[in-house]
Amino acid sequence: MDTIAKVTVVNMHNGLKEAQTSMDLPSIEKLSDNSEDVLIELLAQCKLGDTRAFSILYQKTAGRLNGIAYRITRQVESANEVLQEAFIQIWQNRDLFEADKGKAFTWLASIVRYRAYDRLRYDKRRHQHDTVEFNEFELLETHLDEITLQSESIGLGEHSEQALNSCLSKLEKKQSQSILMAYMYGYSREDISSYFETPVNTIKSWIRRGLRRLQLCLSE
Amino acid sequence: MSKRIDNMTNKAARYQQTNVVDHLASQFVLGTLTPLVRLRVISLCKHNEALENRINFWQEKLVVIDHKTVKLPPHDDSWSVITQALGMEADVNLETIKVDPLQNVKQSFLSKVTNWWSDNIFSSPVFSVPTYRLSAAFSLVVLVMATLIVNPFSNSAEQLSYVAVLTDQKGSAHLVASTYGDSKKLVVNVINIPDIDIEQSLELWVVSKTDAQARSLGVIPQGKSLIEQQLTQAQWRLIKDSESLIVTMEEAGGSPIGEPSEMIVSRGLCVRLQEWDINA
Repeated sequence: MDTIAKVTVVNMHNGLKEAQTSMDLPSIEKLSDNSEDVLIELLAQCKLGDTRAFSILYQKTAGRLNGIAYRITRQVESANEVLQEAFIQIWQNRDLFEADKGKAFTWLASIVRYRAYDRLRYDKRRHQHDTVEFNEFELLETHLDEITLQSESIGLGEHSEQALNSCLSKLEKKQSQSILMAYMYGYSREDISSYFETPVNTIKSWIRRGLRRLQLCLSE
Repeated sequence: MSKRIDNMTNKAARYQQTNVVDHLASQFVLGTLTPLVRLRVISLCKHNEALENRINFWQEKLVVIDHKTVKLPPHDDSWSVITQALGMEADVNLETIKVDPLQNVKQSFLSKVTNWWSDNIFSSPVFSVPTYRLSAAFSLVVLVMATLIVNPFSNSAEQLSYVAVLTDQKGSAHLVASTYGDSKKLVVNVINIPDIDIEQSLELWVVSKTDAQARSLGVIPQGKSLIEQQLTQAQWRLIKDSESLIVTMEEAGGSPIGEPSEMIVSRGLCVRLQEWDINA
C-alpha cells in the first residue's frame, strides 16, 4: 500500500472544482503485483465510477480469471465469453463488493466461476442434442488425473493452501475427488455419479459428508 | 390465512438452522445446486446474514484453488466488447485490436437462446442457409395464423409494430407477443404455456440487439389467455431495440436478481411488421 500514492484530483468537468480522494492510477498500473490491497483500491475507484481503474483491474486480473473460466468450460471461446459477461457484471455490481466481508480476488473469481458453471451446464445441454458425440468421459479421465495431482499438492507454502491441502487429504479419496470435480470443473452430481458408476444419492452423501468434515477441519 | 403465514414463518425459520445454512452455502459455492435453488439462495442472502457469511467462508477457503489456476490471456477484443457493452468505449482504451465490438457479446447470451432453438428446429442438413432468416420466416408463418385466429386486436385500426411468436424447443407455439406503436401497448396471447407449480413464475424478457442483455417485461400471470400491458417509454425503447423475446422459469414473483434463469421455456425473434410487409 505504501507505493499507492494518494493524491487529490481536481475535477474541472463542468467548470466545477470537485475534490475527491483518489489513488495515483499510473503508479498502480506500473505495479507488477495484483495484491489484495491493489485490487481493493481499484474496486474502490470503480465504485466512484472510475473507468480507468476498471481497465487496470481488467489488465491485472483478466488472465487469471480467464484461466478459471477455461478450467471449467474447457472451451477457449466459451471462457472468453464468460470473462466478458463477468466483467460487465463486475462493473454493474461494483457497489456490492464489501471489503470487510471478503477478499477482492475471491469476489471477482466467484463471479467468473458461477458464470462458468452456468455456461458449462448450457453447453452440455446443447451437446446432448449434437449429432457429434461428446466424449465426456475422456474429459473426466483427464480431469481426475489433474484432481489427483491437485489434491496431493495444493500446498506450496502459504498457510491457507497448506490448510486446504491438509484438510482435503484427511477426507476419503472419493469425497475429496467429488468435491474437487464439482468445484474445479463444474461437474454436476449426476456427472460424478456417472463417472463413479454410483447412484446420485450416494454422491450427494459423499459430498455432504466430505464438506462437513472439511468445514470442521478448516475451522480449526 | 394464518396457516399460510405459519408456513412462511416455518420456512424462514428453517433457513436459519445451522445445518440447512451449512448445506446450502457449501453446495452453492460448489456449484451443485439446481438453478432454482441457487436463485433462492441468492435471494435469501439478502436477509440471511448467516447464510451470506457461510458462503463467504467457503469462497475464501476454496479460492486457493483459483489462485493456483494457470492464466489464460483473454482475446484481444474482449476488452472492447466489455467497454462497448457498458457504453464506456470513448473513455477507456486498452490498446486492443478493434474488431466488431459486439460480436462476442452477441454470441454470448444470444448464442444461448439462438443455438438452443436453432440446434433443435433446424438441425437437419436441409437447413444449411442462415437459420436467422429461416426462424424469422417460421415465426411469421405461425404469426399470420396465430394473430388472425387468436388476437382480438387483429382488426384494430391501430398498426402492429413488432411481433414475436415464442415457441418451445420442439417448435410448438407458446405465446404471441405483439406491440402497438401508437398506444405503446404490449399484448400477449397465451396459446399453450407449460404448467408450473405454485413456487414458480414464468417471466417475459426482451433481449437487446445492442448489448445482448435480457431485461424483464414482467411476470406472465397464470390462468390468463390474453394479457395487455401498457409499456413505459423505457420498455418501448427496449422493444424497438429487441432481437428476441424469451420466457424463463423463475421462482414465484420473478427473478430475484433481475436476470433470466437458464431455464428458457420459449423464445421468439422479434419481427418488425412493416419490414416484413415490404420484404414479402
